[in-house]
Amino acid sequence: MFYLNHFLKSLTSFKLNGLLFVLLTVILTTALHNRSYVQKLFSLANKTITRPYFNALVTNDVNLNTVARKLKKLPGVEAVTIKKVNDVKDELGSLKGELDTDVLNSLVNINYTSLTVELGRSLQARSQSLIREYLTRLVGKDSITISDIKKPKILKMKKNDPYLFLNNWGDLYLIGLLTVIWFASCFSFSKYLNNYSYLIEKFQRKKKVGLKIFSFGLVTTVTASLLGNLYFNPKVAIIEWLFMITLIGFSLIIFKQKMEYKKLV
Amino acid sequence: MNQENLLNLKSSKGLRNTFLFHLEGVSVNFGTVHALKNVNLTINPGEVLFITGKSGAGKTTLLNLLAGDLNSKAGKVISPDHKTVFTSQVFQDLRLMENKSCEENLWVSYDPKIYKNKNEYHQDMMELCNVLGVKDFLSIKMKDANGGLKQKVAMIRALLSKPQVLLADEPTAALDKESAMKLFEILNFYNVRRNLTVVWASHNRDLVKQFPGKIVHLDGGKLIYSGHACFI
Repeated sequence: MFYLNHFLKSLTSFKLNGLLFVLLTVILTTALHNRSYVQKLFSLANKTITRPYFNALVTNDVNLNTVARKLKKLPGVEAVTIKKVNDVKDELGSLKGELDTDVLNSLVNINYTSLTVELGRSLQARSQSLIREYLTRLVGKDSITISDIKKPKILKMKKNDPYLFLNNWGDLYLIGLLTVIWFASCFSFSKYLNNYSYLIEKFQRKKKVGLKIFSFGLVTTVTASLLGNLYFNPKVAIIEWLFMITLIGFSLIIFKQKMEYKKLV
Repeated sequence: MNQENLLNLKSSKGLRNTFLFHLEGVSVNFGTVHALKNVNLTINPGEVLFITGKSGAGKTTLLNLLAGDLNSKAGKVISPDHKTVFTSQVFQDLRLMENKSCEENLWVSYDPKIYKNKNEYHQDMMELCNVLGVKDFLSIKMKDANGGLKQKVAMIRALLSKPQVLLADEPTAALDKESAMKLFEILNFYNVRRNLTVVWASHNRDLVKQFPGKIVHLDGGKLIYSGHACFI
C-alpha cells in the first residue's frame, strides 16, 4: 500500500507524464485484450462487396427477417443485408440536392427498408433472375422495387498496397506502434519517478524504491484495466496477456540500475 | 558549551570505541580528473568533522563516497561489520521538490519504521521549524522560497530522517552568520543528545574554525591536514 500510495502521489506530482503513462497502459491493455476486434477494424472483408449483388426497396409491412431467412436458404445466395430505416433516410437526405423536393418528400413519406442480396460469383444470369423473381413473389409485386444486378470489379491489389498491408498486419501494426509509444511514455515518466524515489530512498530506510513504486503502480493499472475489459469481453487472450507480462518485465529493467538524481528542466 | 567540555562529554560516554567509516588509500577519478587521491580517514560515531578546501578540492566527492553514491577506483571504504550506515544528506543543490510546499518536502523523511505515528513526526518537524524560523513559511512552494529558507528546509528534512551520519555540503552557503550559528547549535544539540555524527563540507575555513570539531583539509583531492580546528 505504501508504494501504491507513492505511485498515486507521483501521478499527481508529474501530471502530464504520469496520466499519459496510465492512459497509454490502459489503451495498450485494451488493444491487446480485444485484438480480434482490432483485426476486424482493419479487415477489408465486410467493407467492400466483391460479389455480384442487387438492391431492393421493400415496404415496411413485410416481415423482412423472414424474407432474408428464406432468401439465404436459396443456392447461390451468399449474403442478405437489411439496412436500417434510419440509414435509408440518411441516404435520401444526401440526395436533397439532386432530386426534386416533391419527389423527395413523397419518398420519405413511404415507409420502406432497403435490402442488399449478394450472389455467388459463378452464378449464371438465368439463375440470378430466378432469385430476383423469387424475391418479388415472396414480397408481392406492389411492395418491392428491385435494382439491376451489379457486378463490381474485383479489387486487384499490389503486394505492397497499404490497404492490403493493413488488412493483413493492421492489428499487429497498431499494437506495435502503441508498444513503442508506451515505452517512450514509460521512459519519460521514469525520469520523474526516479528523482521522486531517489529522495525517498535517501531520507527513509528503504531500497529499490523506484522499482517497487513503478511495479506496484503498473501491475495495479494493468490488472484493473484487464478486469474492466474482461467484464465487457470475457474472452481469455492468453498470448496477448503473456505479451503484456513480457512488456512489464522489460519496463522494469529501466529501474534496475542504481538511481541517480538528475536535474530536470 | 566550549570545545573541551564537549570532547570530555563524548569521551566519558565511551562513544569512540568503534568507527563509522574507515577510508584506506581511497582514490576517485572522473575520467582523467583525479577527484580524490589516496585519502586515509577514520570517522568515529558522534564526531563533528569539517571538510574544508577550495572549490574542486574533492569535498563533494568525499561526501558522495560516504553516502554510497560513488565507488572508489582504488582503496576501500570500510564500515563496521560491513553494515550499511544510514546517512542523510544536505545536498549542495538542495534537491527539493520545487512544485511542492515546504511542508510537503519535509514529509519525504517520514519513515513509519522510525516514527511511531505521524503525530510524533509532526511534533519533531514543528519543533525544528520553530527553532529555525520556518514555521510560518510551511505552506510556501519551494519555487517561491528564498535561498535561506530552502537551505533550512533541506537541513530539517535531513535531520528528520534521524540519520546516524549527517552529510552536509555547504549547508550555510545561503545563510547569514546568525542563521549559520543557529544551525550549528542545532547540529551540536543533535550531536550531543542523539550521538549524531556530522560531516560538514565548507570552503569557508574561517567559519568552521569557530565551531568545535575536527577539520580535514583537502587540496586537489589530497588530504593535507586532519586534526582539531583549534590547531589549524
